Amino acid sequence: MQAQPAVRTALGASLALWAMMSPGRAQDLEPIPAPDPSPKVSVRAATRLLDQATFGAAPGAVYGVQRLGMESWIETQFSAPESPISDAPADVTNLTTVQQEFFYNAMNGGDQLRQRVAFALSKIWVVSGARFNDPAAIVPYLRVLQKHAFGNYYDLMSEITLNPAMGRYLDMANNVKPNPALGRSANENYARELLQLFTIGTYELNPDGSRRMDGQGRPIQAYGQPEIVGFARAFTGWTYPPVPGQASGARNPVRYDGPMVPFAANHDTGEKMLLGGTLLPAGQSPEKDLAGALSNVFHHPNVGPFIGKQLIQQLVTSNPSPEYVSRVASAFADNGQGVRGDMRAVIRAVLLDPEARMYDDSPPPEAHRYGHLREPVLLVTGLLRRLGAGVPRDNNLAGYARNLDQNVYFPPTVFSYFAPGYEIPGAGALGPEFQLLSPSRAIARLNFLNQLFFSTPGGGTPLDLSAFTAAAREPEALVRLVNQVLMAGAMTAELRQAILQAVNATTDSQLRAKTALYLAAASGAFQVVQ
Amino acid sequence: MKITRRALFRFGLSAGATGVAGRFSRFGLWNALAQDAYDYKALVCLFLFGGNDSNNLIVPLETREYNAYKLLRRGLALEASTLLPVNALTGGAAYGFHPKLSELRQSYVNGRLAVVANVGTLVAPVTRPQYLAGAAVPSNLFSHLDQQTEWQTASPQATAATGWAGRLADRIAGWNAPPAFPAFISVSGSQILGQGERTQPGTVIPGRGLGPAGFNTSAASQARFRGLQQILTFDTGMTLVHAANSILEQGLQDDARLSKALQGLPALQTVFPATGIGQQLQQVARLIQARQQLGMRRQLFFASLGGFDTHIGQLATQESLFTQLSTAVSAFENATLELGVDQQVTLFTESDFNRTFQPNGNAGTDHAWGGHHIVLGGAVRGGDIYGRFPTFELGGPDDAASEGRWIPSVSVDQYAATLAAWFGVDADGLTAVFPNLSNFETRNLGFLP
Repeated sequence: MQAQPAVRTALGASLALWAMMSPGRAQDLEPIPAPDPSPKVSVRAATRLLDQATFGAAPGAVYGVQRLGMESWIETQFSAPESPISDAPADVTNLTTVQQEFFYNAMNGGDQLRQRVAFALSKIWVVSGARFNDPAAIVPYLRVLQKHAFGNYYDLMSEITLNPAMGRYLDMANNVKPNPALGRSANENYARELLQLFTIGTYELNPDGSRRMDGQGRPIQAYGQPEIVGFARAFTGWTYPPVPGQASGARNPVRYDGPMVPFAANHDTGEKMLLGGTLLPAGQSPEKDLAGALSNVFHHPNVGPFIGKQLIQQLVTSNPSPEYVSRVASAFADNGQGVRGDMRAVIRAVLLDPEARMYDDSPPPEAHRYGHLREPVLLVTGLLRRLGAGVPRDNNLAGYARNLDQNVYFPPTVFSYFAPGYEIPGAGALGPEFQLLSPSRAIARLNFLNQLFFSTPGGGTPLDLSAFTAAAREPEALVRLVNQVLMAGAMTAELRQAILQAVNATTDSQLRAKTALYLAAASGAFQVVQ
Repeated sequence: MKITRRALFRFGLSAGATGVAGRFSRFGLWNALAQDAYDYKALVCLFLFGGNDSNNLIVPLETREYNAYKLLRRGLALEASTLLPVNALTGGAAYGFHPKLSELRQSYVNGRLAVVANVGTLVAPVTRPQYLAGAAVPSNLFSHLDQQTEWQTASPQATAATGWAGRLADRIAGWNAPPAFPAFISVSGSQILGQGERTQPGTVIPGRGLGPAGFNTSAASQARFRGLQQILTFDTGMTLVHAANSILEQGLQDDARLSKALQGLPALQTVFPATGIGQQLQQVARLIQARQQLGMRRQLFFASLGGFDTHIGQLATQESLFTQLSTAVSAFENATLELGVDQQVTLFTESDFNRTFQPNGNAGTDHAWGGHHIVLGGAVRGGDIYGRFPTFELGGPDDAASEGRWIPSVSVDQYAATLAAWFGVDADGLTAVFPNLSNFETRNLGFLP
């Protein structure tokens, strides 16, 4: 946050020029503020924060952070009005309009931080259009994620657990008690994935996210099959909300317009084993068992480091230090006022941690594993927001991301698009998003850039590159502008030189501009957020 | 094995023959190989993601076993009259394939498909009493991601950085022509199975064009392409940036080689089903077709079919999936016959795990352990069942718990090592590729020569 004033001014002026000259951007939801004459935060630092906390560093948003300072910007975001998540029109029976609205809000919404955190949560608490391509199911689920993005993790757990889309996706809806006479068990699907993916993971963790070891140096399993069976039985006896005006039954028909409801006769009232040797006593109601089971999970010491590390990975860096995880886990454990699971405290801890901010003023040192690959959605929005693209409601940005293997709200399995523990082959580093970057998908990313810059972008994504074309009369000025808009001035000399050389192969200003943008966006330096 | 050993000696690649190998440069070795009749073998892994309920893939039809099956599987039991009957070559016992696997059943009858019973991740052989007493078993049993990984790495306890097919590819790296096209190609995204110490797996997206779009012969376009290539070589010292650049660089190289190799090759006559798995296997067949143009003598492929996590409504889901499986694999078999490589290509299944024998309350099943797998190809000693079916008894001698989660009687290592031995890796190589293989008495299950 101690940028050289000269650099700050030069970048600021250039961005101001750029912002004025990009008439294509949507101005209805997020007007461009004027650059602050004495900003609290450098362009580079603001850009970094916005790459971590939003769908991309649009010039206007950079000014916003510069004017408010980081802490205040985050607090302002906490109180920003929520972008609406609309019901699909009656004649739309698939997720097309839901995807369009996702990208519309991601590009234009004023509640960027909430949208970004809700998107991160959708990759942890997974339901998928691959199972039911139905807006009636997905829209209420998305509203729950958005609502609790700045709430308490326990409330998120409770409301998602009874959300019918999740109930259907992981079979808690109509999960009936075991019946030895009929030779059938309770359905274990939700119980297992709640523990493994949504809350604690498979191994006991230290507060810094590392595995706890037993006396012989082996990791300790966080639970076994008896606990899975215990939770599966605790979660029996719930069904879809009743049809309005009709009595609720044992197995209500599938509907999504309210929380699931209990049907006590289908609930297993026996004693159940939970985590840490805790027993749910026999004879309890479905509601009481559910609350007891969720509370047992919520208070497990793994939740802070397990979820905290994933939020760090989603927003900031794939390979956080144990200390960073520990600080975020500590914010999860206690927000400073004795409250556990306060998402605002966790988000502040993730974004304002010294490790999140340590490269705000200078590039990371060599051989560092810092940052994370832009996943397809963030590549698309990150680029388009920087370029001030005016993205309308009926956009087709979902198609771009789908071609890059990330079909929004259609994760292939409950394990989402990529795993937090995915290791980049041969790199000795975690890189969850790299799971989507096979050699052939890397070429698909080039083809996205080709489509964006060299063919007519489909789906109504007008891209006005006149500022770049105007600058292209002088190649050095063009590359400087591309450097400022795409990389906040962090381009290396050799990258600048390589782009300059390619630009100089033509005198056509438009072609020069496209060449420079294509090469800069294709480079690993842009593909990876640092 | 006999042919393999001879071949190894001739090519000077076995561990004990380094002196011979030393006389050849990489090109010299390749030229020596090229003089022979085209020696080629390929392994195709078809991964059934989600954990296939193989209890219903093939069902014993002998009275006692079938009655136990019918009693315990309840609503999920397939009627004996609907199962497609076969007999085991060894012992003659009757079995029935799932009704939607008619093409696979035909391959079995033709002696080109074998079933390997109750395969799963294991550290060492384990019995129910040993399991219950806390014997060493794979980490995170019953968890999708962990079990998928362990099937692919053959490393059931430690976190492995390589897959068994990648380590296998490391062993045979010198058999393919330089400059190396990846010995392992996935047509279903990045998979650790093909990651070796030195082997970098390649990928192809079925049905997509190869290479970057939008370049032409104009000076500006050429300059932009040179700029791109140059940018990818910059080493900023940033691990993730470097990785992103390297992956793209590899993609560009692989696609360029493949585009060239495919030029002028006739289209396949075999018609594949218009399903995801159909397209994947068609792509694999197309890559096999280009084997000589690419200079490949040993190749490994990865394809997959997902959706097997049938916690609910299993019967209908599995019918649909098995139809896709059977028709696509059958088309692939036909394509290998068309290409004249049916003796040289072996396809095999993997899956996260089998599912509980006892159904849950939603006409579905939950995560279990050992399951049955199929191996198909002209070289396969087919029409037979290898390994041993579990005893159908809840809480019985083969159950890890009380819902019919079968403790495997054959390990992934034994299964994969049998494939690898056919592929041409010698005993030392097998031990290196499968560190736990020595924990098992039988190193070769015999379903391939």
